[in-house]
Amino acid sequence: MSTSPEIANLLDLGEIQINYHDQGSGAPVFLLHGSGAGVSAWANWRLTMPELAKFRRVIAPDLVGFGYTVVPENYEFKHMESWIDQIIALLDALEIEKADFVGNSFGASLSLALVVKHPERVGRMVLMGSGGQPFTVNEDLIKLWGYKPSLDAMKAILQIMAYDQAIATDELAEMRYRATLREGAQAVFERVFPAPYQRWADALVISDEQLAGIENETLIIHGRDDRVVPVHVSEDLFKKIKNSQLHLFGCCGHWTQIEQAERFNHLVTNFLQETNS
Amino acid sequence: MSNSPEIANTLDLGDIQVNYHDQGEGKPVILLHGSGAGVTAWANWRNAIPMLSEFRRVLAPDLVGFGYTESPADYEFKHLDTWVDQIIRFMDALDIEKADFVGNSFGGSLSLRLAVEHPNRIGRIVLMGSGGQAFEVGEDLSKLWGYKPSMTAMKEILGIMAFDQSIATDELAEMRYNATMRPGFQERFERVFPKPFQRWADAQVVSDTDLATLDNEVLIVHGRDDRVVPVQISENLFRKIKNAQMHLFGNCGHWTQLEQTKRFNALVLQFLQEN
Repeated sequence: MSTSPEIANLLDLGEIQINYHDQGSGAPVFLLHGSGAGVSAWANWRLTMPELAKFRRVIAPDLVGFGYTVVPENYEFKHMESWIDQIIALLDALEIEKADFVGNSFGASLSLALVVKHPERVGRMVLMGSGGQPFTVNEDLIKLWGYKPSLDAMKAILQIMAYDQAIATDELAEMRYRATLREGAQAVFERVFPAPYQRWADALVISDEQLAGIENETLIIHGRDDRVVPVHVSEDLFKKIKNSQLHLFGCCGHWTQIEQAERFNHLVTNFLQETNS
Repeated sequence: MSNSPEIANTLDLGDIQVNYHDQGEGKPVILLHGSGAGVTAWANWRNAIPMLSEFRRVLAPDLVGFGYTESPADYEFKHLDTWVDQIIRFMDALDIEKADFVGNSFGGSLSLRLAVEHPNRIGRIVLMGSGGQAFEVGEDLSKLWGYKPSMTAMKEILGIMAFDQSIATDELAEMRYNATMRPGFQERFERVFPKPFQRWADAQVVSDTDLATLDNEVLIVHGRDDRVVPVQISENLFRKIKNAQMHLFGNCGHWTQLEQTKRFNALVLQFLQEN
């Protein structure tokens, strides 16, 4: 067995086997990762899980098509049904009626899609560098979704993600690059996001009518210098979701939870721990 | 002596006598109130002072022209030099070399001006519903600065300030109205903000060049439904101040610190206590 911290619990749902982290106790909160090459729940949330697990049950699955969650070779990815179905199946299997959600980028858009389709299963939401409003897929996002495994390509991606270029070390690039070399990992990634890419950003869009129907308390977080998803996406969501707050970080790229880890953790903790009274 | 909670310590600066609150211990943080009719430091910060003073020394002066700070009848108000000068003299008199600032609206603009003109005296800055960028003085702000004492006018102002109209009670309106009926208060208020009003918003503008020089950690807070100072002011400041964060509240007007008290206090405390 691997000793990688990325691998935790396994839930066999027949067609797919979900790798998921499950730490702490209390009211459950789900962490949904983004859609970069070589991503896993652990890669996204390693700095977040230990903090939140101090007072909540934290569940962080690898979404189908990513990380160590296993899907059949001919698995057909349907944006966003595949992932909505996965999360609902996971909630059901763990007998969790309702959970709060913290979503990063693609995972934030997924949180919005979940609350629209299954409002009774979703409590509070934190959206971080979220999609969900129309935006043009630019050169930087094309490099992410169009990634072909090489150390240079991975280094370029890390530089796109971070505001502080010192974060994009050779060591981190090597680690993330190796993750994309695992058997089958690249093949499945290319099947999740085949070119042309604009349609996958469009598939994340939630209509104004649907946004107006959301009553959940929502905290929207974005980096001012995000090169992947423009900050106006979060500004638009904030205007359209009634019970929302918007927190923007200066000197911060698409990696809010890593670049502003301490502030991010405090914000999310305070928000999740608010009583509804 | 009055037992009004609005009146606390007096500091005699010669030409003016500053009424100010001074609670708690530790690194000083100075709270600067806004410019509404009948405003005082206490009226603005009564929900913030008790919480912040558990961790910090909290100083909240009535700005000259407002509240219980006394100034000569012929005192000449110069936007914003008068208040920059008052705060620096206030700090000097209390032997405070450097302080963090939390500024509401007009007090937010004043904090920015202080940071630009006296960078070595200012630490972290929280701006709340701040001015400091160009905007057109609308009907609602004209009602605030053009206030003539009456219960009806005060009730209308409270309705403009708050998103949640249930906050604008008759009781609160009566309290604020009574504050504007104290001898000399209305005359002085009209001398701070004589018509035309646009120039007083313009006087708060901090240039892009000046904003670019700030390297203070800055937290910018604004209500999405603010009818007095448009939320774009904060959005513009956020883009121009390097080390800035911005937190916007939905379902919230110009009165962030009263309408979102718990969240506002938690945010500010977290921010001030970093490092």
